[in-house]
Amino acid sequence: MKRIAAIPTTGDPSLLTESVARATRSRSVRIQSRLFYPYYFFQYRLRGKRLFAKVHSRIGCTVDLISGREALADTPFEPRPETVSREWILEAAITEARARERARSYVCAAVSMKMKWFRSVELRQERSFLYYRPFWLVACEERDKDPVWIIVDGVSGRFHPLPLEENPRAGEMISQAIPFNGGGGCSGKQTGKGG
Amino acid sequence: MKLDQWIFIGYLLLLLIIGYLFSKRASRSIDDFLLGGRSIGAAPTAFTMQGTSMSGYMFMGGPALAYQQGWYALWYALGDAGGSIINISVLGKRMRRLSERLGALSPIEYLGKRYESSAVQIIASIISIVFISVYVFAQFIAAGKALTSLTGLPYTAALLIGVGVIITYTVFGGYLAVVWTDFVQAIIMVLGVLGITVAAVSHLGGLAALNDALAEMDPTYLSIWGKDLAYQGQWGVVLGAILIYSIGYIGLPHVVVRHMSMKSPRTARSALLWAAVWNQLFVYAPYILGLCGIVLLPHLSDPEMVIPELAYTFFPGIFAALLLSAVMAAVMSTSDSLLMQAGTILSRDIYQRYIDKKADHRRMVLVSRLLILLVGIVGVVVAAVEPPTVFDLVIFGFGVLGNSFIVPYVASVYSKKANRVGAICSMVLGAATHIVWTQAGLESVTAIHPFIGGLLFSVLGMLIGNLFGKDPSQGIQDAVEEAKHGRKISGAVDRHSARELAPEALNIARHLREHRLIPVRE
Repeated sequence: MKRIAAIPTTGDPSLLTESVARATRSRSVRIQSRLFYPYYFFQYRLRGKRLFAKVHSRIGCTVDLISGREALADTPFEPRPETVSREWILEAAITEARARERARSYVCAAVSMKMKWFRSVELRQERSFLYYRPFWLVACEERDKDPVWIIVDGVSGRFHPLPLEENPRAGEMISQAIPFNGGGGCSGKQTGKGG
Repeated sequence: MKLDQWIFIGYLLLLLIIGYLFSKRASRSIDDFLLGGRSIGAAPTAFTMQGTSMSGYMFMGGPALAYQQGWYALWYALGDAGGSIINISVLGKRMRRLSERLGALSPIEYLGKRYESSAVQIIASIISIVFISVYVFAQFIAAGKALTSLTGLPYTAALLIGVGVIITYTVFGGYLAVVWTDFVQAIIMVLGVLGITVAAVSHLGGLAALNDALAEMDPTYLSIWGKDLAYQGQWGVVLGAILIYSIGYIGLPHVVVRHMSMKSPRTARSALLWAAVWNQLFVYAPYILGLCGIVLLPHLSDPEMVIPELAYTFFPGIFAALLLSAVMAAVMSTSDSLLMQAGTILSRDIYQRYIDKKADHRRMVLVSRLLILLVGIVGVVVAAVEPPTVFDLVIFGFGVLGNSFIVPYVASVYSKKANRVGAICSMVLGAATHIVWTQAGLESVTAIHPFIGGLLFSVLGMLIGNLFGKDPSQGIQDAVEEAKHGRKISGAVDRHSARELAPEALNIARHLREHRLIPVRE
């Protein structure tokens, strides 16, 4: 077992299965387990000048610690300590220093491109921390077919199919599922991919 | 100062005020702005998207061709009307899937990753920057001509002012260029052009009367082969005229980026439908105006001034000034996007990746700004000294970009054996052929449009190059194969899945396999 800082799962598992079944038009939906995915969060104070005034704002960025993908995030949110079996925690492959570098570069590029702001911006890092995001492992069963396995984001409820060579039957999945921890709420709103 | 000049200044001020109001709102919640909290729905999104992609070509180049060649010019409109649909059908889904697997954020980065080659990325970047700049030069000329009509200033002075406004808008515009200003501009453009088309066609007594008048002046204006049947039997030229816009879009990096960033398939589909409807409504109008110009303004010295002259000759000054403001709007928004794209390619895809890996944002912005300055200076020189026509420049820039990138993009998703040597040969041969074909005037000798020539050599380059290069890695081949067939999952799961979770899904699947949390069958 390992103690990690994780974003609390939102929503009720029964509501989750219901909404996934509706969206995927599956005959039945079964939650198998919950995995925890590592990210680094960076919060910046952004300063810059534009045509008539100065901009002072806060902006957050998350970095996926396995594939290195960055995303902008609303601030603030607070992870809570949770104790989880090790095999359900994904291991980080990117160092904090590398993540910091990527986050800064990404925020600058996003500000330039999305706001069409062709000026340099000043970013001051206010805080940063490692956290884990929960994903439900879910089997969507259809008539006369192998189930489709998907991951469901434990915070936003969005889902994506797992790219498995072959979809194992639901019963074949080793079931060391973590007890559901429904309810609870995120202390901070989060939008954007993975954070 | 004349009333229409005041209208133009008032128009710019209106954009400034809209930009300022939205910028104030955005400053309070910059993250909300960046995270897309300003969703305006499928129809306005499509409207804005199409409006901003309308360049000075639609107001000057297209009508000028119709003025010179008659109904033959409609071949170009025909390709343009179906361009976005063909583009999405050929590349859309597959490219979205593959870029998702490769984690590529820009079209140039996509090519580099798909062909596993820095050389591919560098060559693609250079071609993009140079020919996006050519496209921008055409906008400069359009801006100079629109301002000449509006202010009565000499062309060179108007050009300098126009380029100055464009560069300022791009570098300092910031929030001025946000979606709502684009939206207002798109509405003015549509109302302006449709209004003047209805008025001009009604003035002539309808389309049938327009055709009668054209036939009386010269029956060959009605021919599909051009005035004096200049292109009679030259299917190679006609085919090129249709294809340059219908499939040419596939090769434009700043258009392809949309396939990679389609977020919600539902919104994207609705937006596409709206875009297609827009195209059918709008694309033909400027050409029809060119035809009206033949009858109404038979002695025009510069055919590219058909729309401004029609506006000033037959309609109230206020209407004309609004329309010319819309032309400037089209020019500004197109140039701004193109310059930003070129600046990003140079700073991110070349400078930071190969020259100074540790370059900070300040340095990257400086690099982008220097490029914009350079494009501005070269553009002014090109536009001031023996300026080519807007039509020629746009067709040239568009054609070279298309010939360089169509084959590598299409092969990247349709052939898993397409390799880096093939991609390089295809890009270089496609671009070089189009340039040589145009400069040497081979179209009149061969009766084949430069776009067709470039396309043929680009395909040959890919086929021959593939024989020499190493096959792509197994990972890339698997990714291409997967992108071909999509996922073996139901349509409902595919439609509703959040593509931004693809990297997480990939890594979680790997984790489950490695930890034997999923039994893998052999």
